[in-house]
Amino acid sequence: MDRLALVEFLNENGVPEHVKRHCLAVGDAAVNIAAALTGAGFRKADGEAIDMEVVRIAGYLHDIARAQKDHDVAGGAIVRPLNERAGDVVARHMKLNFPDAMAALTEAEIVSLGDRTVCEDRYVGYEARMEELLARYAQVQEVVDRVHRNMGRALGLIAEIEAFCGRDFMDIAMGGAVDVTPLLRRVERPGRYIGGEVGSVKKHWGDAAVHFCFAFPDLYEIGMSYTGLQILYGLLNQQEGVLCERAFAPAADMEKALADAGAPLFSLESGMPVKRFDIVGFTLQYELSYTNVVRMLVQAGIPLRAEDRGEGDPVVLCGGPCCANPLPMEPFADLFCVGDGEDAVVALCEAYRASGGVRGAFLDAARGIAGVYVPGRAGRGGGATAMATDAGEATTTEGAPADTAPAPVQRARVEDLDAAFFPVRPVVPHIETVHERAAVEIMRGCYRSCRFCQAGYACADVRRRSPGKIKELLLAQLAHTGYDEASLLSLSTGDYPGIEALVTDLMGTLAEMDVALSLPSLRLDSLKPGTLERIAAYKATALTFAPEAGTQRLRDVIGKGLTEADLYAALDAAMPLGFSKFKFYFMIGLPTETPADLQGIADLAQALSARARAIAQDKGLPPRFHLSVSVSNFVPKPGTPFEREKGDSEEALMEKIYFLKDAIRRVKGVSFKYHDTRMSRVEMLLAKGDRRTADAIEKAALSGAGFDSWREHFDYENWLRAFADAGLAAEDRYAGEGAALPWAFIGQGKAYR
Amino acid sequence: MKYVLTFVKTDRMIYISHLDLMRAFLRALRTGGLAPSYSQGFNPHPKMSFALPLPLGVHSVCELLEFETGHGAAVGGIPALALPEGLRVTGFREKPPGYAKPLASYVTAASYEIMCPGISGAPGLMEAFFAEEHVWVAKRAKRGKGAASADAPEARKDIRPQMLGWEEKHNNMHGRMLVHVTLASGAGNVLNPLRFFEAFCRHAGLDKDALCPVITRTAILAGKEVCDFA
Repeated sequence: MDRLALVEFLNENGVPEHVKRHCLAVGDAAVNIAAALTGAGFRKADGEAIDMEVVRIAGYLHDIARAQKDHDVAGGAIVRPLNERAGDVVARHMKLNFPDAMAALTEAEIVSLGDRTVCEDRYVGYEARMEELLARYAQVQEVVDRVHRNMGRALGLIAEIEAFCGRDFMDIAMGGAVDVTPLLRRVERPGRYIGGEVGSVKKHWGDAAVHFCFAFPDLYEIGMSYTGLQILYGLLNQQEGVLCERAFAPAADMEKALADAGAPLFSLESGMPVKRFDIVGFTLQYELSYTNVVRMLVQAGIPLRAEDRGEGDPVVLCGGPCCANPLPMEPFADLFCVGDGEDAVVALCEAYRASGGVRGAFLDAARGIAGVYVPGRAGRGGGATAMATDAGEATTTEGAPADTAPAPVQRARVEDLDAAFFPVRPVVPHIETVHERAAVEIMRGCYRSCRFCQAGYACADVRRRSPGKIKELLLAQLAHTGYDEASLLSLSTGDYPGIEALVTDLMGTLAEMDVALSLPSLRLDSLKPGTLERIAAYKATALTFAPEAGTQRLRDVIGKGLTEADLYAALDAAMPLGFSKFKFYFMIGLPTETPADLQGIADLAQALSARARAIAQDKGLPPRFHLSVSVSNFVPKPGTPFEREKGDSEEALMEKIYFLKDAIRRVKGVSFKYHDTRMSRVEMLLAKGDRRTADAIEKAALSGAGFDSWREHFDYENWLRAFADAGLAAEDRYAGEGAALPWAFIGQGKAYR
Repeated sequence: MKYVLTFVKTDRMIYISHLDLMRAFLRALRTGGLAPSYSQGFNPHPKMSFALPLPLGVHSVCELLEFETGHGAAVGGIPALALPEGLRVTGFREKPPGYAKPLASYVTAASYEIMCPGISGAPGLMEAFFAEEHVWVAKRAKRGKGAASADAPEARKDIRPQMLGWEEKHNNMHGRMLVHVTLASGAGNVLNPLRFFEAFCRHAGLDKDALCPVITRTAILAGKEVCDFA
């Protein structure tokens, strides 16, 4: 019987909450002690190995009858039908006398050692637990005598076990987990660190052959809104023998509390140090999280550079969209997973198991897996086709070796979304997060080809999930989580063929359940009027448009198929339906941009505002509409047709923002928002960085950078110093037609080169 | 129809704030087919409330959640709700007819068990603490303008009237304090057990930061009556 089945058995027997928690803690400790002994080569006096099944059943059920008189004997009677020997252990557990030497240990003593070191649901150690027992049973002479009689022998046994296993007893009994309880009361939002959410999975550490830690390099509330985490977490835990837990970047107060306590970064589910996992997988969602990866490795006590890791250190894996250029993070990673992660991570866990956890053997096997890039080893297909070189290394005067680029790496790809895993029991975050809703990915890839868009170019073509499957997944998620909002995810939801039918069908069903449907990434230009009406009937609030550029010429250059007429038509359709807030997204610093294009943004804002006023007047609507113009800074991204572009300097971007701020201030009813130019500048340097950029990332992180995408944490001067200290000019060295792109070995999604 | 749910909040869930707990139960009730009704108006909110908010870091075996739903009749026994580890429903029944107003308005006090290793001679210390006529504590610091200086009379408050009683729960041996206290918890008259413990430590000359008390709410009281709706 496994742990879950035993928990179920405790529930069926009506064991009270606090007793159940005690039973689980004792069972965990007993199983951990038994596993450590067996692992260190211990055999019982009869030559047999410790029977784990007996330890498990007796440990988890030892107090099953605690509410009854003579609970040990009564408990034994309940347990005996499950397992004869476990029943005997339970029946004896209160009156057991410890032997003089470890050689005489049996399952019964191991369960008792667990029971004598756990107070309620926490490991406290033998002395503290005995103190508690003496306090409680001070009137019962029999108990007091037994405690005193056993004290010396028990402490002797514990010392012997510690010497035999070469580990501290607390470390053995807790299976190596970090006790973060004392830290939780000292930090803000402790809910970030406690785990145990609805949908979270806690497997027993010792039962798993592969321990995978999904590490998200940002706060809990950011990471928990990321669907990719939910997919891979559910998928990996579905694999037999694979355990997947989560770790997030601790906020500054927790980081300090951990450091003060000398405690390492830990996983939420079992509180295990991240360093003890076999594979630690970081997702690289945005470049400004790179410093958090470095900090988390430091917090975990994992050697920062792959070259410094050896047997016993976890394998560090990086995945996610930023792997379109893995080079800046390459020195920190043992391997990368490029493209769709589902099949690749499962195959990696298989390979890990098959390699017996031997680093070299595993990495050799991993390079045969589609989408996996193992730096320093030939890629899939073997033949090392020399491609572009890292210009930085080739031209450096410090004599760094010119490194030939690896063989091409093909992106991993999930062909059939209907057949692919998608979670129906997502983890429901404890604390408020950005998105709290059931969510189903309806398409992967994008029908459009906006030339700046890394996500759009990452997939060669579009794969769709069928409407029936979407509905099935969404309803199952809602039933398991109780969310009151549902969402359809994709890069451009309006482009889903048959979106009207899907939305109509879902809205009917969801309305009956009091669930709201939200449609992010909805492009108005792709929407049929009928759909808009249905959304309006539901919740008419803000609508979002992304013209991206101010003139038709520039929109054509960037491949944005939206016209001014589309925007007017959308306003015409939406306003009478009750929509009153409109957001327009633009980019500045785009290739070929001229002052006329910037003026175009202001002109368009003016024209849209006038149009909205006219519509309001015409249709007799209250003049309560609001338009906002948000400007972000164009960052050329590897893996897109604009990858050779040189992004604007910080000063140039700032000048453009001043110009627009001034121009738009004069337009009535329009507000103006813009993005931090210094952050964008660092993002550019990291996005198009090479291996040497890793030095700057490391120096920045070790001198305090972290949470760089958070304005209050971002420190531009520190970044400039880090680049200078790394001997790098803070500039893009891979721009222009002739530039050799060091990341060109990473396969394209949509072809453009 | 109005219902009352009794539940236990323990384990690591003691670190979940009042608002997050509200959201957890809103979702959980939906998973059990007990979606709460919503208020009418411009900004509808679910008709559910806790009888007495529980401070962060305090356990409880006696929490009360009342809510209104149109679906309660179908539920027999304790409803199966998807709840995180550490939250467990222990009872479910219709709100008794004698309580027309929200439960919160009947609550006057709450009892807490305070278990704290490392305090020797606890009974004497507690007795001496309760023997005081006044127990002055600093009021919660206001921020910004208008914040009174710490010495000003309006910056402190006497919590002695809110300390209603105490008893020793077991004999205390080996430096392990185990007491029961009853603290005022009525509308506008609430003594937080953590503040009580802090004041106790100051009075006894103990360093509260070095102590790890486990505080558990054991009863919510309406006058002399225990609100357990068992």
